[in-house]
Amino acid sequence: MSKDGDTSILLVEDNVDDLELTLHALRSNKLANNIEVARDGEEALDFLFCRGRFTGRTKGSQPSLVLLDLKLPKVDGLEVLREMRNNPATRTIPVVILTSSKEEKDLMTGYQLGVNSYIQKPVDFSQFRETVRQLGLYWLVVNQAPPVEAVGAA
Amino acid sequence: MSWGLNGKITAGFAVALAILGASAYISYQSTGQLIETSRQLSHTQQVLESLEMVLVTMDDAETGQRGYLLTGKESYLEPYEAARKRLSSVFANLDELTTGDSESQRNLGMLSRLVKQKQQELVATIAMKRANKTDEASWLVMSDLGKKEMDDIRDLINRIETREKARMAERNVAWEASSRRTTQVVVLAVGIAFVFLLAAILALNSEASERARAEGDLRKNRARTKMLTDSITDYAILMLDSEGRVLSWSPGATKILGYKQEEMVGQSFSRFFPPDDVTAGVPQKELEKVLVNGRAEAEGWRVRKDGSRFWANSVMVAIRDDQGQLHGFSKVMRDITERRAALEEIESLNRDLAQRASELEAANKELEAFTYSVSHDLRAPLRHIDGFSQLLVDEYGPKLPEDVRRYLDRIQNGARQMGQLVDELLNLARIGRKEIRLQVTGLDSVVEQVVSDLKTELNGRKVDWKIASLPYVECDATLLKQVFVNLLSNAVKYTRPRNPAVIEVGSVQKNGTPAVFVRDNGVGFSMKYADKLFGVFQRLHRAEDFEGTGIGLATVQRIIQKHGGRIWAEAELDKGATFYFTLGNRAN
Repeated sequence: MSKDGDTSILLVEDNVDDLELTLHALRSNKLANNIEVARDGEEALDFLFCRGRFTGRTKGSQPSLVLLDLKLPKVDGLEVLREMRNNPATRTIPVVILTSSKEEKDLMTGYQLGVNSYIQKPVDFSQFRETVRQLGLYWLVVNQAPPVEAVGAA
Repeated sequence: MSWGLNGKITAGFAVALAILGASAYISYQSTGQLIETSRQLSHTQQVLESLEMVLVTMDDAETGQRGYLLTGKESYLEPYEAARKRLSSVFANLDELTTGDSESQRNLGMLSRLVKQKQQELVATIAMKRANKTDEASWLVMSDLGKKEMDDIRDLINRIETREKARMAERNVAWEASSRRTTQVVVLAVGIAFVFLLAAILALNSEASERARAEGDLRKNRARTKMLTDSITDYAILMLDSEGRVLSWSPGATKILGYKQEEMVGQSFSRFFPPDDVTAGVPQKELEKVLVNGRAEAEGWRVRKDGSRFWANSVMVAIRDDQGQLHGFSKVMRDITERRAALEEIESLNRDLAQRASELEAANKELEAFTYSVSHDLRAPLRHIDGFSQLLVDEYGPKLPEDVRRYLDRIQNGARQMGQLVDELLNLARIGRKEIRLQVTGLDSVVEQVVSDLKTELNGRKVDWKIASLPYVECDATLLKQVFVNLLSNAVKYTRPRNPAVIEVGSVQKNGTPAVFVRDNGVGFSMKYADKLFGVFQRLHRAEDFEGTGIGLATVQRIIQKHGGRIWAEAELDKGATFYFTLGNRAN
């Protein structure tokens, strides 16, 4: 798992209900350590690029995974993704879109912008919990993350 | 053909005339020669007669001399005297006749000398008799001198006569030859002239009949043209002179414009233009355009005799001969008021249609935005309802009364069902908007995939699958998979009371097109409700018997219709159902 103090997951979610349910699902699957929450796209970008209220955060400790909602105030999810992929400091961070919709347009744009995975939140909470368990296990345990040097230096 | 028929005829006549003239000249020449020859002949005749006269006269003179010598009577000397007088006139005549003929003159000179010698002998003997020297006279007579002289005269005259006769014969021969030649030439000339004349006359004749035929054709053509223009009553057909004045006016023109031919002939064609157009020079401009381009098409209002207006379409053409000389114009005009109205109607409809289309497009955009936000925002509260209900059960379940747990279960069921409904409705809307992507697809593999997915959800039920070989078709494979998912899961659902369930997939020919069918031995339905089968939210079974949203078959129909195909069902209550579909002309 992640080192102490390092952020393992950046959860970008504007809806409090969704936020609580998602955190609950993560907690129940023992994946809730070192979670950073951003409530809109701008905050997410501030965190990733260490600016705004995150000035002073070290760029070297980028999250191992970004869970990204699409419909967000200020800057929407796809725009966050675009900026991440355009910037060398964030280009290699795994991003999973976790959203209500599976509109073809969103799917297409998401993958074109280089998202690593696209998951529609099921209405059934049991299924949602299972989905969160699987994706946490996969991206934080099974999957080999890019080397830290590459994340920072590239 | 630079000569032309007329030129040739003229030439024929000219040649014939020239030949005839030449032959007349030759005849004239020949006749002159004939006259000359006959004059010469009579000339020769006179010479011969005169010579004969000399001989006779000399004989008479000698006879008179002899009589006197024998009788001594002076009366015997009378013939002699007469002969002597006659001789001088005969010689004068001969001299005149032979003027220019040197040989004859020479011969005549000789004759004259001989005659004078003889006369001298006669004079001498007569003088001797008178002097009574009768013996001497007789001696002179007896000396044969007189006879010899007479013989010489006769010989000479004979010679001259022979020569004259020979010359006459010679002239005759020459004249005959020449007149024969003349005759031949004249006959030949007349023959040739006759041939030329004949040819010219024949040509003249054929030209005349040609002209008569042409005139006949022209008359027939005119009659036909008139019949044609007269029979066309939906078009005004008119001829204008080069100034735009009416030369001819068809019955169609009378029908369309109301003016009779006698009213319009000589009038300017601007008469049936609206006054404003005439002031603005519209008719004149039309004429100018025709003069420049050779043709002009015009559309506009024209005025009938009764003042009413109609919308006309007209074509005007300049009529020029081979040399480009303008002879006037032909004008054909139609009343297209109705067509124009129809066109305007169509244009107005098109405008409406375009308006509707843009409205529809706007509505579509709105719908798209609507479904987008539905897909994002409508599902979220359902997730929350289900999620927090679940947390309630998870965290306080054991403490909760049985009823509360059952209510929570109902709440969760409702939320999930609505989630499914939203998903399916969104899917249906998406299919409506989506462009289908056709590719040749083997339906076998699609069905195989769907069936293998369904087998995992059978929960131990016994199902007898009878899957026949299916054709390759041109279709959107993703959408066709949805069709089979819906039809086959329906079959699985509605055969739940059957053991074993029998589900059959195959293809048949329906009205010449291949149709795919999915058949089951399930609960079926009454054909009474067959028309409701494919409507959105239409269900033929109660939800507690067979769960469902009522969107599945509507989605299937939408997909089939998008492929240009047709879907229908045959069923019987409690006996099972068969769903057929075709893929229209795109089926392969």
